[in-house]
Amino acid sequence: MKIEGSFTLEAPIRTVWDYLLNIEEMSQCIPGVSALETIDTKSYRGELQIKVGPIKAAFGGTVTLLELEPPHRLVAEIVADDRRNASQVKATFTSILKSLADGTEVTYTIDANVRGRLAQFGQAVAQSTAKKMAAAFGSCMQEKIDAGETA
Amino acid sequence: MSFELLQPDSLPGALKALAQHGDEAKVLAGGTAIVLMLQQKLIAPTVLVSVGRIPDLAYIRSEPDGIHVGPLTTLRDMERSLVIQTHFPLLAQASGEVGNIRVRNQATLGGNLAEADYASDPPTALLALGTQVTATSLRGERTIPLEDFLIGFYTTDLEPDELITDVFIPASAPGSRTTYLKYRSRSSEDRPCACVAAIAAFEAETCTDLRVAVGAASEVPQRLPAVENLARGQALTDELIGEIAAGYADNIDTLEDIRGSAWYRTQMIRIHVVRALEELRNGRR
Ligand SMILES: Cc1cc2nc3c(=O)[nH]c(=O)nc-3n(C[C@H](O)[C@H](O)[C@H](O)COP(=O)(O)OP(=O)(O)OC[C@H]3O[C@@H](n4cnc5c(N)ncnc54)[C@H](O)[C@@H]3O)c2cc1C
Repeated sequence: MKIEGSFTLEAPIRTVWDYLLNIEEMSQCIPGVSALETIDTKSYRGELQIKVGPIKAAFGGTVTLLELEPPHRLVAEIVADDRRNASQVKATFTSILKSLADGTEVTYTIDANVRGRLAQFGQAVAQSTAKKMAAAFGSCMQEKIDAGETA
Repeated sequence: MSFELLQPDSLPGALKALAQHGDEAKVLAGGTAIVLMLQQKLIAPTVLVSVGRIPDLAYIRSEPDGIHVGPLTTLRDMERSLVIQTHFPLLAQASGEVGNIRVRNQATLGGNLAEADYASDPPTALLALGTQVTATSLRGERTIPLEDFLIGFYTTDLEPDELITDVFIPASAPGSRTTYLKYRSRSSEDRPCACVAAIAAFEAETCTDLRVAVGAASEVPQRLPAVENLARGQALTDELIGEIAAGYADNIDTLEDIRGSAWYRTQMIRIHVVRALEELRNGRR
């Protein structure tokens, strides 16, 4: 299953990159993420709660940064499972940053393999949930960047 | 799977149970959707509030300004109702297209709306018809237009303590022509890949009012009033029909699932809006 999308931030590419790579700060902008801890400079452990209608999922797992090409491209691997829904997710997350005249475009691609009960919800629900999360993430990041600039 | 099953025999009894247990409780009507979710352990409520023993929640009541349908009315009863067949053939059609007869005998209108599965039939017909949903809790009663009731994937405007207690469908202009087209991309009993509900009123050849809802192709069924208005005061020529169909195809952000890609759904919307409008223009009801 492939999920794609993009959003734009009003900040230079270098600033956006630095904010994205500050994983602990950045993760506060992902709706539903909690208990993030750093394992080492490249891996992190955390929990993610997602609610779609009556269905609640709670994933726990790790994120590992695989490739970093500052300030343009990052690739991460996500491995997580939801015990209650007996589901596993393995995903590759790729993000590409592009300089625009008045900001930076952030494109993301998630190539996910979902197994277990949650798999039946498939592409449509995952894509729309990701889009909503990305929109919330984008505006939260913008706020952090704006606050950082004035501070 | 462990939960307590409550079977209140009055509406206040059911509302009290829901108010008490809040998010931990789920309503059980025909059970066609919720039993699957329980079996698959996708939800784990601690309390199930069955509404089956509450009297007077299954009815089809005709009034001068429209019809009231009770939430416990089965889709089969709607399909077979003479009142619905005569005054809202579109709704009889859409109800009759759901799954198979075993499902329709069991599935209720309230359950269909509250489930809010995007791949459904009745909500699209009901949206075109301008339906209002009444939700009741111990806090009181409110009436919600269907377009505000359906929020997203499996998500409605209902609070955990609210029950759907009535569905009101206003009468269409006399002489309106209607149609419901369901497009299935897999088996003959499948849920829709895309569906179109259309209602038009005419004075001679001139279209005086057009309402088109497209469902199952995006998160919630949609009407596009700006596109509908292109028809007002016009004859439905092939050219105008093509323009309206393109308006729907181009402006609905289609989704992708096992029933078809986003691109494919866009094509199916275009084709089925054309077919629906040709049918209305050519006079079939
Ligand atoms: C094999 C199969 C094929 C199907 N094909 C189609 C199809 O082609 N087209 C289509 O449109 N649908 C289709 N369906 C879906 C079917 O229409 C719904 O499952 C059904 O309408 C749900 O009604 P129910 O009474 O069984 O609800 P239940 O399963 O009892 O409940 C469903 C949801 O609604 C809530 N609920 C029920 N009543 C109320 C109420 N009064 N107030 C508040 N909440 C309430 C429940 O809590 C639950 O969340 C299919 C289902 C099956 C099993």
